[in-house]
Amino acid sequence: MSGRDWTRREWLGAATAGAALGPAAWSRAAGKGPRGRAEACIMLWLGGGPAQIDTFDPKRKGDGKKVAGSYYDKIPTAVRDVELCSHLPKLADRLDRCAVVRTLHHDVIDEHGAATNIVHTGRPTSETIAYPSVGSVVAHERGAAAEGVPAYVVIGYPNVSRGPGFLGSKAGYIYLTDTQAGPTGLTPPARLSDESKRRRERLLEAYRGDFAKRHSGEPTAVDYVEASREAARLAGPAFRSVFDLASEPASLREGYGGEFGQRCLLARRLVESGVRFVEVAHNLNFVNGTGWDTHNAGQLHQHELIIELDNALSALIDDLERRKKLDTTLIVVAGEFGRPPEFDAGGGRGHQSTAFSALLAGGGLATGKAIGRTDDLAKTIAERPVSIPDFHATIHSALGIDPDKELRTSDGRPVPITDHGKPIAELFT
Amino acid sequence: MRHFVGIVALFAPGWVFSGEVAVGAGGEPARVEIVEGLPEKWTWETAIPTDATESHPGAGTALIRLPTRYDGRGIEVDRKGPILVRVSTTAEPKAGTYRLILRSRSAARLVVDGKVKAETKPISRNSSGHEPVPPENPLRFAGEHRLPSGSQERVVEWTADGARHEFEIRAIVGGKGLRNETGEIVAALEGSDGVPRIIGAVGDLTEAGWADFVERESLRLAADDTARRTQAAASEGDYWKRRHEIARRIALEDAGRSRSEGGNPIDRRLGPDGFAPVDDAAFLRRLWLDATGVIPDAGEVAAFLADRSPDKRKAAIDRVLADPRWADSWMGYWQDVLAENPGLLKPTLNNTGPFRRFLHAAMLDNLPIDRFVTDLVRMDGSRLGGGPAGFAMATQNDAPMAAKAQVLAKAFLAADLKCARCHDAPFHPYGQEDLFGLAALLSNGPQKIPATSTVTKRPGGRTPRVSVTIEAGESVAPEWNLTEITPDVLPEGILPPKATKRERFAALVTSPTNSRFARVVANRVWHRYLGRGLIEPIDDWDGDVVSHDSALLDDLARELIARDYDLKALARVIFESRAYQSKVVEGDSRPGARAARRRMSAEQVLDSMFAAAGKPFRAEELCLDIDGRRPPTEFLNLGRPERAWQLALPSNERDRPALTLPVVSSLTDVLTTFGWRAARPDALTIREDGITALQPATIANAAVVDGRIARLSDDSAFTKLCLEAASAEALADAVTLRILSRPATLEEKARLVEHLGATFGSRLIAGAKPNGPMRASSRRVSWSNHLHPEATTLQQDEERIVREGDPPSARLTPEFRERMEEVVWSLVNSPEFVFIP
Repeated sequence: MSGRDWTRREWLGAATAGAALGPAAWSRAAGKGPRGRAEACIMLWLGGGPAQIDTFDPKRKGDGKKVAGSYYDKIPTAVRDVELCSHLPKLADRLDRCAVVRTLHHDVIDEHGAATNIVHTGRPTSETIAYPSVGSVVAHERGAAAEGVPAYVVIGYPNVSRGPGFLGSKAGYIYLTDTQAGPTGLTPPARLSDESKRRRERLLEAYRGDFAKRHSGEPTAVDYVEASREAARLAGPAFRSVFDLASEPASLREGYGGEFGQRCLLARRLVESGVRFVEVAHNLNFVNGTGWDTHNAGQLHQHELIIELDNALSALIDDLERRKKLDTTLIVVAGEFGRPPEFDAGGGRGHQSTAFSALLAGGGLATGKAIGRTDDLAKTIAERPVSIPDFHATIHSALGIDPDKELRTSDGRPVPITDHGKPIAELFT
Repeated sequence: MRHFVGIVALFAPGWVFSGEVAVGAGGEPARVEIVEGLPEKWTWETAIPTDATESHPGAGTALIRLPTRYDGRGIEVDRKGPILVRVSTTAEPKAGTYRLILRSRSAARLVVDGKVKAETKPISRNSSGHEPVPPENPLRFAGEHRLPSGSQERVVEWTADGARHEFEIRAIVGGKGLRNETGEIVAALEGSDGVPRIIGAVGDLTEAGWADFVERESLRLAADDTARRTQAAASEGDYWKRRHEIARRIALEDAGRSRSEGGNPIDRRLGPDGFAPVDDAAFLRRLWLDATGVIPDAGEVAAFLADRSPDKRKAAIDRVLADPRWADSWMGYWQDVLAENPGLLKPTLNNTGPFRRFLHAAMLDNLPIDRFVTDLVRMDGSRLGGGPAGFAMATQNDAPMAAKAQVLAKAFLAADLKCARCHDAPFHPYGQEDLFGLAALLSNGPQKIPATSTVTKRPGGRTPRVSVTIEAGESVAPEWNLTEITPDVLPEGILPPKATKRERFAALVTSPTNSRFARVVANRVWHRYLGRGLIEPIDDWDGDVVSHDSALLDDLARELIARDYDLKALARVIFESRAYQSKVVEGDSRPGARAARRRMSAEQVLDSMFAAAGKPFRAEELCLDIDGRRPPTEFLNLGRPERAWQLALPSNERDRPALTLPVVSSLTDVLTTFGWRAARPDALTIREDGITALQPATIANAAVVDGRIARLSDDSAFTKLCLEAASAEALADAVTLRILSRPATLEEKARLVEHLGATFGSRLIAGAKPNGPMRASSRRVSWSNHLHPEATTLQQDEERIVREGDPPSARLTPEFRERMEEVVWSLVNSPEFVFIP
């Protein structure tokens, strides 16, 4: 551990390194290619692999058995010639604020874990290096936008794909699995009285002071003492108030809907407080049994998931727009792969990674269009493929990050943020 | 491997322990006999116990796991399923009416005197995940050890005539698409007192009786494993003895002087001056953390501080080196360095097998380091059960042996070949052909360069700055290419007869003529204990290298060889040196100086907190297929973790609430913050160890600290201190000693006494009964039912229970308890706690 000055900004290491440069610095950032003006990103993760043909890329209807095709009707949207599935009516009305990317692809299909990893990190796993997730890269590059908040929050379960890889724990996330409970590590137990908290903090401060005095010449020791004091401030009322969803108007909360909607609302509040990247998991699999992994009977209640997404996502778009934050907040909706137009023996769908969809909204992008086109059954790409590195490059560019920038591993190896990713040019005009 | 000995004594002291006299004790010792490789379509008629190829001592009519099987060299191997296990004993139950109880996960028969009395059904495989969650198995009486979910129970009447009878269980374990896992197999006899007792052993099916049985049985099985393992390993004893003689000869020839100079070789090299010794308390805490991975027991500290003998430090060093926790102290390190990366669920992320079991056994047996590396490189034995073959595994990796060559070269030769995976290394003397030549040696044949292992120039893209000299698809012949480190020549007697190419690789790495091996290992050990390498970077000696004291490293390497590559012997030399026992002097750049205070590793933080509180983890079994209905290729069972290194994330890439392991997560939350890697796809020597506010924040707020470590529950060692303390001063001293391994200063004592104030005097509630520990409900959610809606709600309830933590003791007043919990919390949160003195 090398000695360095502890600054309050560095509470999560990378926390505000980017913000310190200010927006002007970003437009001067090196590298070619477009740079957007988004300041934060909310990624809604549809874990399990949503069927593009039943959501963002509807085609002719199938029969749920032998005849391949969509499971639902399709409806027109606010964008001419772009249709969505009939269970996304609210989103259809707001599609001018969105871009549907219909030609994502990669070559991992057999396993959710591996596919989730590739969509989060942009690369297959390797034995020579652990790659960071897109959220960790954003946290590392831009830090938090305010003091005293983390740069990267996951509302969902901790897993390796979401992790910081070689960037180390400073680019890691804090997570919560329950909007009621607050994030692990930053939420003091509710049972404690304020008085008890004050008393124990007083005792601790005495130990801190003694230790700092005994080891005043040791930067590592002094750093830890300062980090400990900062930790106490972080767990204080200011950051905790971000989690107080009850302070929002009841009508707004209702508009967002159930637990997933509340997560989206919390994501908006987190971003507002200065968090740079929030990943929200939408896989409360009890809605339809399987979540988005709609094999067999999981298909039967898939529409409930779609409706839940329609509600929450539309509420989020409206809420951000009302607050004039939609232009500077990029919303990403993605899963690890898509699903084929054919039905399995149980009336559900298998996995498909040759062509699948994602959705981008807001973020200052040139929205109101569909990117790429698939064949008649959304099975293969007909024109304009978008690779996962391209998709990541688009997210990074929207956030003012150079997707070709080389990061350094701890042993000095240069690793570009994306593997030759090219941002989708049509979204930056 | 159970290190929290003494905990069970604290475990719900109010509960009934009813196994004082075993039913039929004094009869023939129980046996466990095993027949492996039954036909898939076995029948009870074809599964014949007399075909048994193995016979082990048992513990009455209960089996918690199979004895580990080892090959002729002591390497863990898998048995071929289906397996028939016969557990038998004789007993002489008093005349009377009984109930015979049979429990088994899969097909089993309870046989008395050759007659079948009860039978359970074969297990059914499952892959859907859509089964309903089974209801909780009902308790037959209050305080019963509940039948585990997915297990079956049969109860039949039986009349004893007072004569001796033969009791046996025949059970079928494993088979196609199943793990060779027993679950709990038990037959019990329930008499008029209503307590079902294991036949022929001390133990019963009450909650406390079973927990106690499992505790003792785990220790017995581990000791039995160790005995058979070391006995098998002795078959190669002569070979290694010869090798070590050759090694000593070569090393001493090189040295040009004999070792007979006496004294500590480190002291001799560094001279007597300039090392201010650290005080006794700090020395002991440092030594324990380094050699056992946990802070010292409070009793040990008190005795050590009171000891006036001049050689007490030497004696303390002897004690820690004899402690089995020595093995634990090395685990996190080797897991990182060797990229041990098992996945609990459908492993696809460059996952290996759980060869942690091999690593732990090797450290426990103190296998000479050259032999340890040789066994690792041979990659034999069990792949998914914990043997070195698990190291060979690399899921979704198109050139696993290239990956392994790279890990091994970095670990034991400080040769960094990772760039060479895809191109000639720009800053190292290694080409791609060098790595793939090594990979071919490990494969025992030519190795193709996979299409992904190259660098392509994209149309219009930048020109790669690295060169590629061989094309993807080309085949590379086996060849030792690291000739700048050591030539492809081995002295007589090093290579066993009929050695494979892979064994040649192992011999070239570990040969005494390869001076780099011993130097790299010695440098690693020095770095671990002194905080800085004598040569840096630790794992890359061919780039920009800083050498702090090459002569001292030569001495240490020679020491290692002269002591037959014995890691403990080298550790002893280091621990006994003045350099090791000196104070931290910030910025002292002399070789051998402690230039910076070390922060505890993630594992040390977590294990030390639990050691201080005297509590076990009580974590879930690390398995997402608890009813055992899926194959080992898709679901591993890493067992119930007792030390931090045994933990793993539940691989919940699927984000399914039903797949959480709440206690495990509460522990890994702490580990992750302090630099533990939940995934280890790549080898790593030095963890990124920067300080973040999330580290102290996690200790301050994590549910596991508030609800477990600082919670004065009846299974807490702190509660015991509170109940027994003669005065507030004594309590302040005792709690400080337990957490910081030193007496409290006068000032600290005064502060704590004042904090407790009047609550101390009236702290006890007379007559109150102790509570049990945190009661996670019995697990019912498994892969087979995790997609059922109830699975999610059950696991979410479980998360809430775990957040609540251990129920507080009712024997202390709430006013005192609150104050005292604040004291414990502040001590565990004090920055001093996380630093190694």
